[in-house]
Amino acid sequence: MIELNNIDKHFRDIHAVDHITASIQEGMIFGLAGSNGAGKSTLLRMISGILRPDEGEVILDGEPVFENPGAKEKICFLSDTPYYFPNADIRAMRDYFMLVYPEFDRKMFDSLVKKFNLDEKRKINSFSKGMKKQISILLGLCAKTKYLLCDETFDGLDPVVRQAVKSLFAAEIMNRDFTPVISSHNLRELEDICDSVGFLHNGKLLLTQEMDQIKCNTCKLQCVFSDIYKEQELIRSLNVLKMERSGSVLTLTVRGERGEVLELAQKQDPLFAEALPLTLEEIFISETEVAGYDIKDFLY
Amino acid sequence: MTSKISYIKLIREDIRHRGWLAALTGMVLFLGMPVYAMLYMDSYLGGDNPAVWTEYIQDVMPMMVNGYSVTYVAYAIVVLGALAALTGYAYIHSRERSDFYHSLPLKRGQWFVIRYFSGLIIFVIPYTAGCVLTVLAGVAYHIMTPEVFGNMAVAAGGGILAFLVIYNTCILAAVLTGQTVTGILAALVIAVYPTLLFAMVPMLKSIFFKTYTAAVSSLSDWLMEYASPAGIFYNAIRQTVSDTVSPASMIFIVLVIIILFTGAVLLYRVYPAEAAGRALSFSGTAPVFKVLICIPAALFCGIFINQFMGANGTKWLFVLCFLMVVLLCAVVEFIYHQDLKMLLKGWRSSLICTGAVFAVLCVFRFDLLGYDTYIPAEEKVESMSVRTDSFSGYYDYPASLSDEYEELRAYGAFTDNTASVYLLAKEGIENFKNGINVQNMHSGEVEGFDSEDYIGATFCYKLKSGRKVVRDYCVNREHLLSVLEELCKDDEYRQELFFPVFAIEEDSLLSISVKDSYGNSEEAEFKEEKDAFFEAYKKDLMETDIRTLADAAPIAEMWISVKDSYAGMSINGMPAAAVSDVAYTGGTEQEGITLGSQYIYEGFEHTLAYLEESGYTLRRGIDPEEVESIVIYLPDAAVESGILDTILPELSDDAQYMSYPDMDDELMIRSQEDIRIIADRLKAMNSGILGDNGTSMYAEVQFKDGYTFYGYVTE
Repeated sequence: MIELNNIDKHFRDIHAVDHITASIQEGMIFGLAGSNGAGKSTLLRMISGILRPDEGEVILDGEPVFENPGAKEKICFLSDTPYYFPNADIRAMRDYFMLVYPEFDRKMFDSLVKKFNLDEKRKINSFSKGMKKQISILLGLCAKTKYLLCDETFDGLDPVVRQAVKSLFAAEIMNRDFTPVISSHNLRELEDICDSVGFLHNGKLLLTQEMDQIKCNTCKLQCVFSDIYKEQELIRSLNVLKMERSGSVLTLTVRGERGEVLELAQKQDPLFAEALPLTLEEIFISETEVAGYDIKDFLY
Repeated sequence: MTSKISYIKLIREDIRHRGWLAALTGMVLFLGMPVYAMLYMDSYLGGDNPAVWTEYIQDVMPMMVNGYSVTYVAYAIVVLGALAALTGYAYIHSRERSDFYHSLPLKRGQWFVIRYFSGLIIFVIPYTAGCVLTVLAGVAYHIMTPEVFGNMAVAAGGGILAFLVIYNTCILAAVLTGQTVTGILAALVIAVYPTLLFAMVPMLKSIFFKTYTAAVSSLSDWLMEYASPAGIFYNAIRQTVSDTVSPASMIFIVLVIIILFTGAVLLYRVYPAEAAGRALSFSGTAPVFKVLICIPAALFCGIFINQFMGANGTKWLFVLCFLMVVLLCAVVEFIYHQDLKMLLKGWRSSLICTGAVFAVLCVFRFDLLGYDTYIPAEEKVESMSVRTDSFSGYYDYPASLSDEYEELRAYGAFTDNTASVYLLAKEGIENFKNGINVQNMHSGEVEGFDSEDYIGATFCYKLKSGRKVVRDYCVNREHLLSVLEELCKDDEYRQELFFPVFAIEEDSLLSISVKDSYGNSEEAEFKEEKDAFFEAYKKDLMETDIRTLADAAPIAEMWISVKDSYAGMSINGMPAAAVSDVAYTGGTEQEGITLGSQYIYEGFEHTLAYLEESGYTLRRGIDPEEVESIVIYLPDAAVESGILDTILPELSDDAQYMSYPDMDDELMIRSQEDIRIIADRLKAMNSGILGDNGTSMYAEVQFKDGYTFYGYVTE
C-alpha cells in the first residue's frame, strides 16, 4: 500500500502539492485525474522517490521511499517524456533495465516487443512519440515491480495499443501482486481501466474513492416543480454540487446515491423527476467547480 | 535488491554510454604523449651528436607525461577533466534524465560513485596507456634509466592529481548549477576565484598605497598559488617534475581534492530534482554567489581597463569600477533568469555589490586603515632590514647560487640592532606625511625638496610573531649612509650586506678576472691563485668604509666565475652546447656563471697588494693616444643643468653636438686635443651602493685597436 502522509511540496512560489493525505490500495488500478498543473506529476515523482517532499512522507509497504532502494525496487516510474540513452535501441534499454531491475522478465519483454511489432534493432530516437511510449510501458511492465507509476503514459497511444495495454495490465493484476497508478487528463480512459480514482486540483486532493463508489455517490437530478417552495425545499435537502436551470427544468448535480436522491425528489411531489448517472468527466468537472475551477471563468 | 545490482556493470554501462569521450581521450593522449615524445626524441637524438641531447631529453621526459613542457597535454588534461565531469553529471540538469536515473532503485550517493569512477576510468586508463607507451618510446631511443622511469612515474602521478583537481572542481560546479552552461561558468569561477581574490589585495595596495612594496613569498602569493584549483592544478604538474617533490604540497593537493570531492558528494545528495533547468541548484545561494563574484570581478576589471587604457591616476578607477559592477550584476542576473526584463530583480544584491565596491575603493583610496603610516611597535620588532634598489644595480646577485638567499636579495641584511633603522623608518613615515614618498620624490611636485639628498629604501620589519611588514619610504641619503655605517660595525651584518661574495664557497670558485679602466680582462685572469686573491678581496670588504662604496669611483672591477649547478642548461632549457660554441662538458659543472660588479677601490689594500705581488698593474686612467673617438651621451637633466656651457667652450670646433627629440643628446669628439681634455675626466661608470644621485653623462670610448667599451661617466 502507498501511504501519503500529509505530503507537501513547493517549487519556489508555486505550491505544487498541498498537504495531501491519502492511500493507494494494493491490487487495484489507481487513476490520478487533475487539471493542468494540479500536481499529478509532482505527486508521482514524490511517490517514486525522485522528489523529496518538503513536509510529510511517502510510505510504501511500511517503508519511506526517498533514498530507500529497498522501497524503490518495488516501483517503476514511467515519465510522461520517457528518457532513452542516446543512440540506444530497444535491446540496449532492455539490458539496462535488466541490470537495475533483477526481476526483469526478458522473455516476456522480447515476446511483447514482437507482438507490438517494434523493431528491436532500430534506434529508439527514430521511433514515433507513441512508439516510444509503448517501449516505455513494456519496459515498465516487464520490470515486474509491484507498483508501476504511469505519468500520462496512455496519452498518445492509439486505441488498439491502448486496449492491448489495458489487457496486459489486467493480466498482470490477475497473475501477480501488481498495482498500477495512472495519471491522465483523459477521464474516459481512467473510467474504463481504473478501480479507484483521485482528483487533484491546485495541489489538493479533492477526493479519492473507488470508481463504483464515486459513480454511485454522485448523480444528476432533472426535475420540474410547479411549486417554487417545494423546489427550494428539495435543494435544501440535497448536497448540491452544481445547479442549472433551463426553462422550467432544474438540473442538479448532487452527492448521494441515485435511488436516495430520486426518493427525496419524489417526496416534494414534482411534475417530473429523473436521476441520471454521471460520467467521470462530469463528476470531475463538478468537483473542480466546487473547488473554484469553473469553465465559465474561461468563457466569460 | 540493491545488493544484486552490480556497481561494476553499471560503471561499465556508463562508460559505454560515454564511449565517444573514451575514444576522444585515447586519441588526444596518444597523439600528445607517445607520438609527440617520439617525434621530439627523433628530432633531437636522430642527429649527428645524440649524446649531447640525451641528458636533456632524460630531463624533459617526465615533463612530457604530465604536460609541464608539452602544454598541449596540460590543456588536454583540463579539457578532458571538464568533459568527464560534465558528461557524467550533466544529467542532473535535465528533468527527463534525472527522473529516469533517480527513479531507479539506487541511492543518490551510489549514482555519484558510479558516475565518478566511470569518469575517472575514462581518463586514467588511456592516460596510463599513454605513459606506458611514452616509456616504451624512451626505451626505443635508449634514454630510459631507472631514475628517468621513477621521475616519469612521479610526473604521471602529478598528471592524475592535476586531472582530479579539474575533475572534482567541475563536478562541484555541475552540482551547484542546474544548467550545463552555468555549470561551465561556475567551473571557471571556482577554478580561478581564489586567485582573483588574493591577487586583488596586492593590486589595490600597489595602486593606492605609496609605501607598498611587494613582499617576497607573502601570504597572498601563497594563497594565489595554492588556494585556487587552477593554481593547484599548475602546482601538481610543476612540482612532480622538479627534483624534489614536496610531500607537504602533495598532501595539500590531495586534501584539496578530498575537500572538492566531499563538497560535491554532499551537495549532490541534497541536489533538488526541481533544480534541473535553473541557473543555480540552490536558489537561495543566488544573491550570495552574485555578491561574492561581482565585487572582486568588478574591481579586477576596473583596474585592468584603467591600466589597459593608460588612464592617469585613480580618479577614473572609481567610474570604471562602478560601470563594471553594474554591468556584472546585470550579466549575473541575466544568467540567473535569462530574461532581460529581470535584470533588476536582484536589486538588493546589486546595491550591496555596488556599495561594497565603493567601500573597498574608499578604504584603499583614503587609506582608512592607515597602511602607509603604520609602523609596528618597537618592542614587537625582532629584527629589521633596509635596502635600496641600487643594491641590485651595485651587486651582481646570482639567482642560482641558492634559494635561501632570496630574502637577502629582496630585503638586504637583517639586524637585531633595530634602533637606528627604526628611527630611519620613522623619518620615512614623517616624510610620507609631509608629502614625500618613493613615487613622487623625483617628480618635482614637492616644493623645497631636493630629491638628490633623498633615496627610496625598502624597510622590512620582522616581528616577534613571525609576521613580516614591508614598506617603501623615502629617506635622507646621508642618514641612510650613517645607519649603514653603524650597522656595518657588526661583521655578520657586513657579510650579509655583501652576501654575493660571502655566499660563494671556496670549492665552487673557478677563476677571478680583473677589468681595469680599459675594461679588458684578458690579461688578468687568476685561476691557480684565485683563492688567495679572493680572500684578500673579502678582507678589504670587511674593512672598507661604507662611504667609499657609496661615493668613490672604483678603479677596477672583479669578475668571479663560480660553478653553477644549472650550467648545463643555459638558455631556454636547452643544453649549453646547443646555444653557444663552448664545448659541452657533459654536466661536469665546469661551466660556470660569472658574477661581475665586484668593485676594487683605491683603499682596498689587500687586493691591490696581491695584484702588485702577482705582477699585475692596474691602469688607472685612459691614455688619450690610444683613443680614436669618444661619444658623450647627455640626458635631458644634464643638458638642463647647463653642463654643456662648461664643456663646449673648452672643446674645438671639431666636436659635434647633436640634439635628438626623443633620445639623449650626443657629443662626438674626434680630435686628439679634445680627447685629451675629456679623457682626463673619464671615470669608470659606477653608481655606488646608494645609486647615482647626480646628472650622469655616459661616454662611449672607441679605442684605436677597435675595442669599444661602454661604461664611463664624465666628471
